[in-house]
Amino acid sequence: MGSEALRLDGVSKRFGTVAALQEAWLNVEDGEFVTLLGPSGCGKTTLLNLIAGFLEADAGEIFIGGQLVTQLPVWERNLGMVFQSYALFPHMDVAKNVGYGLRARGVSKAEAARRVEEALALVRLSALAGRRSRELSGGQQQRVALARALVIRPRLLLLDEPFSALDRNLRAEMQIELKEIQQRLGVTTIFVTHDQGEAMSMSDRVAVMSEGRILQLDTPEGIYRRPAHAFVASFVGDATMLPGQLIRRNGATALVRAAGREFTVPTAPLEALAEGAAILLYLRPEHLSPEDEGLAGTVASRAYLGDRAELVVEVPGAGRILLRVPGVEALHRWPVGAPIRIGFTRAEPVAFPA
Amino acid sequence: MLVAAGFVLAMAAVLQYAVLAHVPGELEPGGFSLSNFREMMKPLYAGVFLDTLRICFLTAVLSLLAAYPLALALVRAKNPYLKSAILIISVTPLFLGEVIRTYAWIIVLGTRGFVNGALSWAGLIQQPLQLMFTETGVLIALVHVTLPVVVIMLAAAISHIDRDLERAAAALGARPLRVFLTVTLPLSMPGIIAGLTTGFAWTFSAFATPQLIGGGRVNMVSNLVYSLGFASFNFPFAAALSVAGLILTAVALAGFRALLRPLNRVATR
Repeated sequence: MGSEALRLDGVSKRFGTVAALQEAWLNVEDGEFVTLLGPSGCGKTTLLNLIAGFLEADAGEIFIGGQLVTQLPVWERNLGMVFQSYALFPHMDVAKNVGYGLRARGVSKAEAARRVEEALALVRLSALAGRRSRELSGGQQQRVALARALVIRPRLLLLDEPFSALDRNLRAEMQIELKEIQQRLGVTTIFVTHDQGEAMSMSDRVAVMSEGRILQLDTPEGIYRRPAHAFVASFVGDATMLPGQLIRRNGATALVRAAGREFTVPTAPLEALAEGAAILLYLRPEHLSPEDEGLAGTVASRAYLGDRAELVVEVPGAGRILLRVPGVEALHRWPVGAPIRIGFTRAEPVAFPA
Repeated sequence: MLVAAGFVLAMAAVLQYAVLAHVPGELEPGGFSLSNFREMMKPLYAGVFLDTLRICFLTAVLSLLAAYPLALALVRAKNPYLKSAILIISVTPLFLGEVIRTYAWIIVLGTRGFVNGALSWAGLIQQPLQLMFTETGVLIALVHVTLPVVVIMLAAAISHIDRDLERAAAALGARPLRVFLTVTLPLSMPGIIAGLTTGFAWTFSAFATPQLIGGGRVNMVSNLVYSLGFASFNFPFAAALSVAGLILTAVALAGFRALLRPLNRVATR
C-alpha cells in the first residue's frame, strides 16, 4: 500500500438540530477505491460534500494527501467530482466542458488541447468533442463528466451516485468501465451510493453508514461475511432473522440457540450480553439448502428468477426463512405447499443483541 | 374576441386619422393627406423620437444593471427574512401606479428633496443638484418603474440554473468570480434578453413619468402625442405620431433582438 490519500479525524456536521455526520474517522490509501454506502439520509452525501469543500465541518480535521484542507476553499482542493446530475455546462461543447478545469488553472492552450484530447480518448468519446451536452446520451454525458473530473489530475476522484440515472444494462457497463479507468490511472476514489451491489462489486473497501455514523469500514467480503452491526447485516445482502438466546461465549466464538438448534457465531457483536440474553440470528439465504436432516417446514412462496429461485419457508415455531436454490430444482421439487427440510451445514450465521 | 375586435377597431380609427389632414381651428379632420408624416421629419419631432429611443435604451440597460444583483440575491438568499425584504423592495413598486411612483420621485428628486438634502447634509454639494425637469431625473424614475418586471424576469431565469453547475465549476478550480462570469452569467442570458426587451418596450409607452418629472423639458413620443392631441387638438398629427411610435417600437425591438442574438446563442440549452 502507498501513502495516505485522505484522512478524516473525527469530522462532524450538524444541520440545525440534526446531526448529519457524527465523528467520522476514515483513512484512505493512495489508489484505493472506497465506497460510502448507506440509505438516503445516512450522511454519505454530507461526508462527500465535506471532503469536496462544499460544506464546512463543525468539528474535526480533513487531510488530503497529508495536507490539512479543513479551511481550504473548494477551488483550491484540486479534486475531481462527478455529480449525480453530471452537471455538464449546457452552454459549452464537450471539449470546452472537459477543458474547463484546465482553463481555470491557466494551463496553456496547446497543453490544454492535448490533455482534453487525451481525456476524451480515455473515455472513448474523441469523436464527440464538438457536441453539446444535450445532444449526448446519459452514458455519454457520464463519460464527459468523468473526463472533465480526471483531466485536471485530481488528488481525489469524488463520485456522487453517478449511475443512479442510468438504466440497468448501461449501469453495469459503466461500472466496469469506471473501475477499469480508475485502476489504470490509480486515482484514489471516493464513491457514494445507496446500491449495495454497486458498492460490493467496485470497491476495495466499503464504509457502511447509518444515521450520520460510519458503522463499519471493511472489504466487501468483510462487510458481507463479518458484519459488525445488525444494520450492516441487514442492509448488505438478504438475511433471515430468527430470534434466539445466547448460550455461552467461548473466546472468539459463541454458542446461540434459535429455531430449536444450536449455532456457532462470532462473539464480537455479543460482547456486552449476559448468558441467556435474547439475540437475533442472521442467516444468508444462499448459505441454506434443502437437506434430509434439516429443519422441517413447508414452502410458503416461490419466486423463480431463472438461474435461481427464492423460497420462503414457513417453519412452525421459528417463523419464515428465506433460502436460495437452483432455478431448475425449484421448478421440479419445491412447489408452494411442498414439505421441505432446511439444512445449515454451509451456514455462516452471525448474531446480534435483539 | 370582443376585446380583440375593440382593439382592432381602435387601431383602425387611429390609422385612419393618421392619413387625414388637420384643419386648424376645427376638431373634424379634413381629407386624405400624408402631410402628417412629412411634418414628422422636421428636426423638432425627429429629435423627440431619437430622445425616446435613447431614454428607452438607457432605462433598459440601467434597469438590468440594478435588477441583476437584486434578482441574484432574491433567488440565492438563504435567510427567508432577507428574501422577503428583497422581494418587497424590488417587486411592490409594481403594485403602485406609475403616477403614484412618479409623485414619490418628485418629492425625492426636488431641489429641497431627499437626495439634495442628504447630499448637502453630507457636505458633498454646495448647490442643490437639478434633478427635476432633467433627463437624469426622468431616467431615475423610469428605471424604478421598470425594475420590478426586470427583477422578476431575471429571477425566473436565475432560479432555473442548476446549482450543481456552479459547484462543478468551483470543484474544477474556478474562483467565485470566474464561476459567475463563465457559468452563472451566460446561463442567465435568457432572462437578460427578456428583461432588456421588456424594459425597452415598457419605457416606450411611459407617459406620466416623463410628463411630470420631465415637466415639458424631457419629451418622449407619448408626451408629444398628448400635447398635440389635447393641447393643440391636432388629432390627425397625434394619430400619425402614435402610428410612427408603434412602428418604431417594433423596429427597435427587432433590432434589439438582432443585436442580442449572439448572446442568446451562448445561452441556448
